[in-house]
Amino acid sequence: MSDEADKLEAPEDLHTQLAAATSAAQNAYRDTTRLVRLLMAIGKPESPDKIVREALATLSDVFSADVTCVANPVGTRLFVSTACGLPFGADGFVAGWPLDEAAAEALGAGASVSREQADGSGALPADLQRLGIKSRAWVPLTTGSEKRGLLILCRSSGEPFTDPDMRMLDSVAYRLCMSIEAAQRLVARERLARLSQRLARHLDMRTLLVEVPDLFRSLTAADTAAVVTIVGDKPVLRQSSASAPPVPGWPDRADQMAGWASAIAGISFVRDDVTLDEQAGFVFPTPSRAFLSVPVMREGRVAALLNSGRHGPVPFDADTVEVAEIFANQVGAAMANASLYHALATNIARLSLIADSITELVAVLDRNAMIQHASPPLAAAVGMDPEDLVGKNAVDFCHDDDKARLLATVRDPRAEPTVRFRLRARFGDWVPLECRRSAGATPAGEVVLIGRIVGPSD
Amino acid sequence: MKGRGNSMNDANGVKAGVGSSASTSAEVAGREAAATAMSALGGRPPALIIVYASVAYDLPALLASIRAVTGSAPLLGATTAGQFHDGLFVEAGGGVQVLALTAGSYGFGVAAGEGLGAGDPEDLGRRLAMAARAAAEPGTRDHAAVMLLSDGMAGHQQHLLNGVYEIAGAAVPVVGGTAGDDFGFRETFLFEGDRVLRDAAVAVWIASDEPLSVVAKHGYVSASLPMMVTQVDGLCVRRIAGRPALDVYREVLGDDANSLRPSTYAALAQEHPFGVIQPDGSHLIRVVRMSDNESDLLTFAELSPFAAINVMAGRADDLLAVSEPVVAEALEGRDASVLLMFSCAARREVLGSRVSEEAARFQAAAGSVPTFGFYTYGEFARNRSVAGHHNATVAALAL
Repeated sequence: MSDEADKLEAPEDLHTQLAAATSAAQNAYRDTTRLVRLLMAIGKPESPDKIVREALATLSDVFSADVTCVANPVGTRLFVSTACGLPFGADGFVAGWPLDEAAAEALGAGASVSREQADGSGALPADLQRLGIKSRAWVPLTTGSEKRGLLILCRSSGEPFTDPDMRMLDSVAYRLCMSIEAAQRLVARERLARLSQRLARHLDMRTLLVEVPDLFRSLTAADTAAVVTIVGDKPVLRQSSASAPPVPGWPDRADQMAGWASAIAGISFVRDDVTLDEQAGFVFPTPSRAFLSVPVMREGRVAALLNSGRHGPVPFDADTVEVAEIFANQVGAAMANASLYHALATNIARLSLIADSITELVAVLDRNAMIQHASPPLAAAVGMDPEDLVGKNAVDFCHDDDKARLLATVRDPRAEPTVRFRLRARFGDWVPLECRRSAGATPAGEVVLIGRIVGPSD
Repeated sequence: MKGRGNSMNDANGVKAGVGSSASTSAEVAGREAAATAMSALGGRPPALIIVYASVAYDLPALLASIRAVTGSAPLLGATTAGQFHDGLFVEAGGGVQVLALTAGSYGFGVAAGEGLGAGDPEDLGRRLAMAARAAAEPGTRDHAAVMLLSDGMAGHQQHLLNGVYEIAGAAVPVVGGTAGDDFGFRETFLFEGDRVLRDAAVAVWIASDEPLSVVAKHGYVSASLPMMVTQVDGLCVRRIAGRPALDVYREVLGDDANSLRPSTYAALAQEHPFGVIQPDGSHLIRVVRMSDNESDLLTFAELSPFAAINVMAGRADDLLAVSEPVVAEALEGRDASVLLMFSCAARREVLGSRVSEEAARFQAAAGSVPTFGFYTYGEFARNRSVAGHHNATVAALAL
């Protein structure tokens, strides 16, 4: 009996155990909901930027992290692209943080790393020192095929990032990458569908090349863009309206340009680690740390390069490069169309010149006798300008007795090709004409009438 | 009725003056409250004016009468569900109170943004913080805090805070509250300069030479095992642990739950809000309301889907017990001129006839430092991480 009494625990012990059990249950629920909340935030059908912001805010919330951010390495520094908890204009955005050993390890090994800061200062960047950050986690953002920098979490509470925390962060980082990739793919295709339509309206090479840089900048979500056309072996720069004038030292020859070797092979050139020293070799006057150059090929040759740059080290992802290449093909087609249109316009102008130079009266009529073209001598014969006649129906100017004859000549290829009819001149007098229908007609059924004014003796 | 007010201590080189009036005339009330507040500044120009008022006033006329006294000093404020200052509780339905502050060692920058409900609240938060920071001209001051006031009927308050956080960063604590309308729950208003704004948020960036910290406490304790919210739709909580939310809630409350009926006001729910379990084990309070059906519950602030929650319990004594710790923590190590406080309208329901006790206890704990605050439809208190929108909580910042 006394043994059993000994086994009975005191009420205060039971209270302690209950509190511990309740606390453990609470922690278990908290940890479970962490992952679910993160996956829900990441899985929303939003823009890539919004997905990242939402993920960082949720990470800050569920991990009680003072700072959560995405950062990309450039040389020996780590540049923050998006953050929750770093003030606007912080060093991390502008000058970057030193790429410390833990970040380098995470990037190099492609595995997450956590560290505790013993005294809250040490090698911390000034942005984080101010916050008294004591523990940090670096998680590579990668799906294997594509690297998107690091996801970084910082806590001032001193609570370390535990192994379960890191496993969860690994899983979240992977899914975040997948979600960003899917969203970028969607956004890139939507942009392509929207922007490529705007190419079709340009039948003039000059106006086409004025608009392409802005379209390309928007398509690639870049800060600056330019088109470089290749004339002979010389590169000619056509910049986005958002850009400043070109840098001094513009290359004399195309083969001096960055990425030319890729371009002549028809391959895009992508860099996300351009240093300030290299800027002169690229085409932008403003510092661009990420660079994309896509060749526009025509008949196996590089006709132009579509270049875009981002001021921050935000890489151009594979989807953006893919749609940029599709867009470059469309630009190539638009340039070909513009060239053909130019040639056609030149031919038309030449033919018009010939038609206008002959003294015969020439008119082009459609199947309903609508006047498509009137030569100056014809217009002069009825006291009008050619533009007064174009778009009007010849039958409306024709004497009532002659209308059927004229229509038959225009409509029926078997009808007598030569027709006499009277046209009402500007002041109401009648001008007698004899016209002959040309042998052929255009695919639209338009015919050419060539004729002269006839006198009483004819 | 004459304005009431205090002359404040001159800590941090800051002089603070508080005035209030219960006159029903907007012109008289504004003039009286502002004149009393200004009289405490000893002729020094005000650098910031804060106004809390009942929605019952002709608000443009009220602001005009205040500005006629304070001049063009930056002004912000909100309509309320009751106010308090210097230990005095002012019931909802009438009354205005004005705080006038000289700059001293602070730099103040006020900004406002509209379109909180209809637009993108995060973007509004970003723009608001940018504009307020620029207006404060922080210069060489190393520290800052933001006081944020917003439309109490708008959802997504945490998203607004997310936007502010993105610009301000973790080093800048945020304090404030959402506006009330004397418990009408129809429309609340914000003040900026001489403008009366709806569907808006206003903020003051407080640049400081010294670190500023925000304190928040509620007094509720957990009254259930943890549970998971499994279905939410905006402010409607449909399922908890996979079952109808009201069924689960009734089960936790046991016999007391007999009073819980759809479409009715349930005082019991004020005593038993949800507590969202935070990473450090603390709780972020979400007040519960009855819906119009037998299965759902409503909240005043969105719960995240799959949030881990406890049903909480708090009676008047529990809630009043945090009065002294909030004040003590806010004033710790500070030579303050004024204590800006925000208490929740939901707490008033629990406090019942003892509501005036809270303001009195705040002031008693603050000693000679005047307290100045209002009853909100939600509180902002952000120190660590982005989370910082509360219900049924007291928040404070000492200046």
